[in-house]
Amino acid sequence: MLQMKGISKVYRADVVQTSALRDFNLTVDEGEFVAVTGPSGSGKTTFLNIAGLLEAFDAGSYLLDGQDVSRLGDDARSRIRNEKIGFIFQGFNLIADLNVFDNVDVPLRYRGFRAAERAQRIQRALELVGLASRGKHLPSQLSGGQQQRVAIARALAGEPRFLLADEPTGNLDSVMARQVMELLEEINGRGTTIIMVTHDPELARRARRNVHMLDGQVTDFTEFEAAIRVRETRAAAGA
Amino acid sequence: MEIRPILSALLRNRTGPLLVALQVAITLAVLCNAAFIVQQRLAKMDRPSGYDEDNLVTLQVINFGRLPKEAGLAAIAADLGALRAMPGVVAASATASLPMSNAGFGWGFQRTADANDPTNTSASLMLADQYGLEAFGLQLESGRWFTPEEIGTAADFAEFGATLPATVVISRALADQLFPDGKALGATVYDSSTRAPATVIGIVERAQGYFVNNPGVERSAFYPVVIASGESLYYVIRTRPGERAAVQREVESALLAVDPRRILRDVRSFGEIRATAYQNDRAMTITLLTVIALLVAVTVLGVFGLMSFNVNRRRKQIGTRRALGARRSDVVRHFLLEGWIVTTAGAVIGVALAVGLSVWLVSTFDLPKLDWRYLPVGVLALWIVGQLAAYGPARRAAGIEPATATRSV
Ligand SMILES: Nc1ncnc2c1ncn2[C@@H]1O[C@H](COP(=O)(O)OP(=O)(O)OP(=O)(O)O)[C@@H](O)[C@H]1O
Ligand SMILES: [Mg+2]
Repeated sequence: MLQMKGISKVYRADVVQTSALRDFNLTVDEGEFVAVTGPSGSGKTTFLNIAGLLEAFDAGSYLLDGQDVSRLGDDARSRIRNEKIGFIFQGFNLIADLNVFDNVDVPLRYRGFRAAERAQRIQRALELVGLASRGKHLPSQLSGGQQQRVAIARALAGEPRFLLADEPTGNLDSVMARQVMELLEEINGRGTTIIMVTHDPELARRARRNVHMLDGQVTDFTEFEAAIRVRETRAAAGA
Repeated sequence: MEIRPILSALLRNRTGPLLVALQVAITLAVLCNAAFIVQQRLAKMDRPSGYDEDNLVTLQVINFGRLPKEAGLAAIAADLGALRAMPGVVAASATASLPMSNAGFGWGFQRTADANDPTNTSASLMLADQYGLEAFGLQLESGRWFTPEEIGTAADFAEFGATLPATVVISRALADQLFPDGKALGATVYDSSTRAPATVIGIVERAQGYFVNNPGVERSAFYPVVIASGESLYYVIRTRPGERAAVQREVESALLAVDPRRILRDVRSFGEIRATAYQNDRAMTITLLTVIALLVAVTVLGVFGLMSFNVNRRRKQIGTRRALGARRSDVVRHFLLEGWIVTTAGAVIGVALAVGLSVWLVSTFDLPKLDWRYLPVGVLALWIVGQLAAYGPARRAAGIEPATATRSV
């Protein structure tokens, strides 16, 4: 599904160079729910941006759905983002001047669907996130959790294979965060692959797979796995 | 088309777009009316005068004191002879005033000797000698010009007024006005103040009168008279094509060689006379064109400013749209469309304003009613200008990185 090998990404400011990703390797299979954790500045967002074709990378190979995406032109990348990938942002990124319905409509218009199909998809997506009756509301008239659910509806309306979420609960209180997490789990249950960056260890633990990042690389073990490994090592030593 | 969501987003922050739309509206209203007025002034300035303007030199002769009649006539004959002897000169003629000069006799002609004849028509009256036709380069449409025997001589204007000539040549416009039935040639017309009759012996195709701002400028008449006193004496000299400038340079010395004791004034080409005649129209045209240019410039800046502001304010939104699958061209189109909506809203108001302004101009200044075709042309022009103004910001918007969606706060 997603296969990154030896990816590196360097940000060049005037004098400073930042290696945001260094020899980054990760494979995610269809249907997985991956939680990415790691300290601030470890490259989580950079990874997500590259995975979602928001940014180019400097070296390595990236196969998305079996397709080498490193040499694609801007329009082709836009098309893949539009059709295969759904984005969920920490700050929701709803368009404040558009109501809920029109917000969910945004990617569908770029997709070129006809009005009737768009309306149907928007309705279905809003029903899934439990906001079917709020189509005419402006984002500012909704709670943070509701806004994020609108954003999830927007990400889902085009039925992407992939959902990329950068701290989707980062701006939510714990109750709303749990609701959003449950929604994501439900979506994953229907077969959508999800990669989610989070700072919240509790949410990370609920994901089926954890990836821990440090200094632009995937560390070999998550803290959880490391703990198990330590125990196994002890057991082996004791045996 | 994605007009509806763009429109509803615009309406949520309507102050800026509304102000720019109003600016577009005012520009359109002024643009249409000003362009219409400019076009009319240009058409007015472009009217043919009937004279061979390119090849004419004119000047005024001012004598020291008043010449006795015979001496005056002799002096004029000597001057015309000298002028005709100049290389490049085709004809030379004496007259008492110059057409299009904003000074001269307004005269009344009518078809009968009745006191209150309703056919009384005003015209510019010019005095001419037998050389007038050739010297002015007039086109004789029918009949004939004056013979040397017909040229009357008057010591001064008082004598001229008391003994009006028996023949007259009139312009086509005056003939049409006096004789709508078309039987002007050979007819008798009457001077409307003294009721003196004169036979129309010739009709010239066109001979504009003294006052170009007068709607009756095309109506003119020539009397075969030379004023001997020199109290108002002009020479009209026609040259061969291309020799006007040389003649204009030499004419003073040629005349002063005949008699140095006088003043020669205003040695001018007819082009200079025309330029003076239409000075106000030209000034008005330039003023209006400047106003149009400034208004359009301000409108361009308004649209550009609004779009730039919107692009900057929505960097994150644009990044998000890109992340959600907008191509660069979609972003460009989005902002061009937004600019178009604002321009079009302004144009709709502007058409109403333009019509209102025209109605006011018509009623207040008696201007002709705005030709409606200026409205679609004006709208089209503002559409183009608006799209050009929006294009820069739209391109800049398209350059915003998709990663702005996740990177910026
Ligand atoms: N546009 C940029 N220009 C320069 N450096 C950048 C840019 N974006 C990210 N970086 C740097 O790259 C490194 C990785 O950043 P990234 O945003 O991927 O970290 P992160 O793991 O998402 O952090 P956080 O948890 O704080 O969101 C950091 O050192 C950051 O400063
Ligand atoms: Mg981050």
